[in-house]
Amino acid sequence: MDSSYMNDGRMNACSPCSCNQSRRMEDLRRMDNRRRVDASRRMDDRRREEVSRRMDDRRCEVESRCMNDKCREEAPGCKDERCRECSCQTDDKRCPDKSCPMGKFEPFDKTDGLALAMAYVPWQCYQDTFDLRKGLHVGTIFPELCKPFCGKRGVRQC
Amino acid sequence: MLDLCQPNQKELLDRIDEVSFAVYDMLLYLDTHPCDQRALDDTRKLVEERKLLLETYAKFFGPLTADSTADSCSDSWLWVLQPWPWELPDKKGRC
Repeated sequence: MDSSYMNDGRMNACSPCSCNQSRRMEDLRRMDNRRRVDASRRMDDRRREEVSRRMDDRRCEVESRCMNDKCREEAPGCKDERCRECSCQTDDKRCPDKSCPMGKFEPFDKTDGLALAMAYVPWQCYQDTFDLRKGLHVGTIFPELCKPFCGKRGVRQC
Repeated sequence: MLDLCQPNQKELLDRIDEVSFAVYDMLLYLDTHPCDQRALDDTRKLVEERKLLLETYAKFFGPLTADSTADSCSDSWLWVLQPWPWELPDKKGRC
């Protein structure tokens, strides 16, 4: 025990008999308080860990559902965490840091918001058809589906 | 439309091929657009034309398919007597 405790013990020792009973009681009370504080701190740590784990789980869940491939891009030089967070969590895709290059980002691509590694087939609308002789020759009667292979040895031939 | 009174066998076969392919392509379109009325109308026209062409071919040159075996005017079984597609003199490997 340190000297401050001893001083406090003396100051609190107001019993007329001046025995050590009051100091023992004070000692027990202080130890009990320390245990409570330590327990409270441990509880706080556990709570913080739990909250952090839940947040990580939520972030992973959100990122797995994210449809924007740009949300994981890290703006060079920007210290703001919102640059790195998933765009699903906010409607504003711009970085709040004015000096950050991400701040100039504006969605302009038609494929913005579409997931990677997915194939898309636009809906075909019935239009005029080829002359049937030409249709047999090119392999389809629909002009919009006529896609001849024009490449040869890495260069376009037609 | 071809002259049905004096059909040329090669021209008739070419036309059957063209129309049959168009019908098949239209069927593929209708598989994904079953309610497209304009496509349905065009398909019905093509199917009718194909049916007429097959009947005409069977009438003059023998049946091309089992469905048109009854369209032949011959008393014999032309299905087996007529030349096979690869035996036609001006069409090698034709089906």
